[in-house]
Amino acid sequence: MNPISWPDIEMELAARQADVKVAEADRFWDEFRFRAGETHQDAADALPILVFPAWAKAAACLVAIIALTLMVTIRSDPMVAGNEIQSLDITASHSSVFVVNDDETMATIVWVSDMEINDAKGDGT
Amino acid sequence: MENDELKVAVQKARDGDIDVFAEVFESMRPVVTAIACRLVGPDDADDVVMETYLKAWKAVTKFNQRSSLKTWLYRVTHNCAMDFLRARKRRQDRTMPEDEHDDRTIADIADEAQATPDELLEKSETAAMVRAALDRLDENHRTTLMLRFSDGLSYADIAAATGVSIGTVMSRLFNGKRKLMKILRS
Repeated sequence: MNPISWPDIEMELAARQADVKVAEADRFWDEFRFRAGETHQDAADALPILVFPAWAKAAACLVAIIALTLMVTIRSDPMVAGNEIQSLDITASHSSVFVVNDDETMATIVWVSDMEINDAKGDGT
Repeated sequence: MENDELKVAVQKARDGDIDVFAEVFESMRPVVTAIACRLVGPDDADDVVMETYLKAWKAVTKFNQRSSLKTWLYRVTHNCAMDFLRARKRRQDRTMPEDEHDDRTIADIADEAQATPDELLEKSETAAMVRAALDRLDENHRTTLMLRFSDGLSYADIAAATGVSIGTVMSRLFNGKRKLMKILRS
């Protein structure tokens, strides 16, 4: 017997289309209408509505507060804050005090004139 | 049916017009039947087709018209067929504790294929051998080959009907052909 070629196989496969028996249309649709009448169509997809639970709202608020606090803290310049003289107490006798702030170099210079070191109490400042 | 016309018809079907649904989907019934036939066998194909259409009727409201209607319907067919096969397997598991291993040879099957007088009359020897060889192929290769060469489906449609990618379809066709030839030449 000759070996079977692919075209022979294809012909046989094509012949197998006859295996498929499509149900008669009227009978099919009659049954379909009857059975479809017993079911409901699914609701069309609506846009999802986001509902947040109370704990999620509370957590969001907490995160916002922490973030705000951090932003304020980070924004305030520690150099400037550290160099700003809130009060000055010179225990030694002196004639005058100059406090000079240099914004450009962020420096503060305290100039005490005619200060008597020997009058100083404690560490002299 | 033109594209715009089809969109309108689908919209009507979504709104619950069963006559329009029937009009739109009737043309796809032969291919859906063929897919069902290949996936679950001819005896149960009609049940799967009916389930497919009922499912499509229910779910057409969610069809977003981004994919083609027939591709969508073939996917629904595949899902219904898989549900059917799972249910059938459960039934079989209850009644048959263990599947018998099929260790028949190709010649045995060919003999069986020729055993009935009707078949002997109507089938050639080649046809019987090809049928027997097809029966020896695994399910995926056989189904893919038949959807392609018996039912004339495109690669994309076969992919939707079998639930795999187009690449897998191509690979199954290539390997299916190779295996079939090998069986027939052994």
